[in-house]
Amino acid sequence: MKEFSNYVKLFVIGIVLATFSSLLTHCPEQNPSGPIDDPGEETEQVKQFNIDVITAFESGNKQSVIDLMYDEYKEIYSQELNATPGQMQAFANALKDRKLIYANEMYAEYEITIEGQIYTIAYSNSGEGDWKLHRF
Amino acid sequence: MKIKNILIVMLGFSTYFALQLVLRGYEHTESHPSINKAIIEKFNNYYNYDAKIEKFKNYSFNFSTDMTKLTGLALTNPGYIEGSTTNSEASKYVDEWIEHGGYSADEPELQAAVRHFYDPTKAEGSRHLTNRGTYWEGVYPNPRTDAIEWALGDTYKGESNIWSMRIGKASMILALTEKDTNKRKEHLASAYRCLGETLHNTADMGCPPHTRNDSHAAPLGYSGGWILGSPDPYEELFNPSVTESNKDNIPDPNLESYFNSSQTVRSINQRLAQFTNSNFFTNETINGNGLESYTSINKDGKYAAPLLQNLEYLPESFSFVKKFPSGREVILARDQSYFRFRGYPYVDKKAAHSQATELVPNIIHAGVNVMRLFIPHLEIEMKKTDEISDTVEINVKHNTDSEYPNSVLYAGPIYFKVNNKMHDSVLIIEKGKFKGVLPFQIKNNDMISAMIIMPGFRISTEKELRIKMNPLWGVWYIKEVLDDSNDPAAPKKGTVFSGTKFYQVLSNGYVKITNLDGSGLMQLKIDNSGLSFTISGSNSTQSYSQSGSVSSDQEKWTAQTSSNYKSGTNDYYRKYSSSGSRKPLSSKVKNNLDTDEIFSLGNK
Repeated sequence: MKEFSNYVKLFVIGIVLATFSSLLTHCPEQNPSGPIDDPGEETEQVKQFNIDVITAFESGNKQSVIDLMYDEYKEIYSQELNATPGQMQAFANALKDRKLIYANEMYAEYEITIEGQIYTIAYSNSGEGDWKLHRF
Repeated sequence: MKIKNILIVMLGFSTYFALQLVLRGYEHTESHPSINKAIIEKFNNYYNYDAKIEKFKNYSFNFSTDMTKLTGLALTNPGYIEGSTTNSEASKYVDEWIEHGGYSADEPELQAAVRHFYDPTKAEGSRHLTNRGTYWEGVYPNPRTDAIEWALGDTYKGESNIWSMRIGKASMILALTEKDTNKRKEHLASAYRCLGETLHNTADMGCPPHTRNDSHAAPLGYSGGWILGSPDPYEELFNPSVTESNKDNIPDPNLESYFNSSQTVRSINQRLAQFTNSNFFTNETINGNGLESYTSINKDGKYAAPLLQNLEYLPESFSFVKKFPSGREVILARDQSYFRFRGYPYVDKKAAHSQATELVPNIIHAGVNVMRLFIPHLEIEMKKTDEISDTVEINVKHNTDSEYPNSVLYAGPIYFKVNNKMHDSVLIIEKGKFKGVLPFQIKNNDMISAMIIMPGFRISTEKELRIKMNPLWGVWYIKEVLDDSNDPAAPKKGTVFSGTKFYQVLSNGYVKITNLDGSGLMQLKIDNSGLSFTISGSNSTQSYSQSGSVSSDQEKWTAQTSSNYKSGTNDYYRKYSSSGSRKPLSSKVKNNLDTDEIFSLGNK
């Protein structure tokens, strides 16, 4: 217990040090929000949804993928998913090494690389945290 | 220190910055304030160093740097529906109020979500949001109010918006006609928040989903968000950094010219909406022939422009691009697909940020002109009524225009610069006019300018007024020293007397000399040329003569004064060394001038 409270104190010291260093080095007027290419951070929910997407593509079952999409996108992307099981597996594998381009709490976009080509994929939710595959 | 302890400290250190990144990622409540901020900065720069237009030739602007705190109502608790938000008293700087309006216009969120759309391709009265109406109209009745009429508040559909441009202009008029400083500031706080909310509308008219009837989810954390549809990638990918990166891009030359000559805010926002609607896709309103013939995902989004077949296709980047008159080549959509090589087109980060390079500068320039129209056109004139007295006339003229069609009669403080230095005194005028004596002493050859100083801007007289008045006019603090006398009743030589007099030089060669309360009138002849003067008067038993000169700075005069009177057969005289000063004397001597007691002539 004593050791645990010691760890907590050290953790708080770390946060305090970070706060001071941020205050000393950050000029908000000149640096409003970081660079335009700042990708943000994946939330745990998006990370979990990525697992769902990967699983769906790995299954080779196209409907499993389409079911993850918004209703109004399903018809179009049913035709888009003109894929062999091998292609779906390759896509799933690429997703495991995805690169985050941008994420906020409602939208996420990634780059994936397959055979040297870069593609993008996007997820979103309507504010309630129920993530959907926006496009692939 | 143990390595474990160091690692724990570093964990705390990195957790701080990780949290910042997560929280900073959700930016939509900051995008509009960032755009408003960029508009303010451009406005200051655009009009401060080169007035460019007749209206602003005597204005200077400091929206970004004004240090006056204005107290008013700010949105302090956001919410989803009417009644769920709270406004409370807050003190902010001018630019903070305008930026705040950029944020508060989106609250409450559902109200804003269905009132911030304007489709310029539809007939008037039908330009509001209809997309996904079958989903959300059961929850929230369609107000059938388009974004522009809501923001401007000048139709019956927009009049319930208490932060509209209409209310903003009314608040500005109240500020310009209010003499009480605190009430004036309250009115200005309201005016600037309303301006900020109107600029929010301007920015929305440069945002593709808002001009293409493309409903999209915005609120976070509410389970009903899906009824508005999926989020729009362009909106979600927009953040203050996008504003920062594109704010200095040149605007479209045709739009720039149109905005610069617009006479109404409505025309600016409508024109911008037309530009956005006809030149940009949203992710769900892509139409035309690419690899195949495509119709929009949004069933209400079948627009005649732009069309894929009218764009240039760059196969190396799978991009549909358009070259704008600005010279920029903008990616409107891309269609790269792993499964089909080229698939259904979409708006991704590359396309969204490319669109922003063209949209942001046009939004900002539109906003600059919205601000131009929001500020009323006032002119201050100041002139002397004559070349003898210190009476001036000040007129504050309001030039009416489309946004302020009724005359504003300025009431409030007028400030002055005298000989290039700000003066402490302030004059309060009413109904735009003043005629009288300024609240401070002026003298011949003073250079005076007058100004109205409002938080955010000031208006000056076009030229300085050179004061022409008689150098003796005004209040003098006078000292007399008795030099010589043959009068046995006279005080001893060297006695010092002091008094304060007002010299009112008349145009008929006479001067009225009185006490400050108007009593003790003496009306004497005056003969002055340049800075020299002789004041004299006589009757059958008395005579008075004072000859001297005013100093070159007209702050002092010195003179030799003699007064003579007959008593029986005796002629008596008293001679003084006299001096006058514009500043009060500090000597502790008799308060009355000796000449007051022994000599006074009635009115001629």
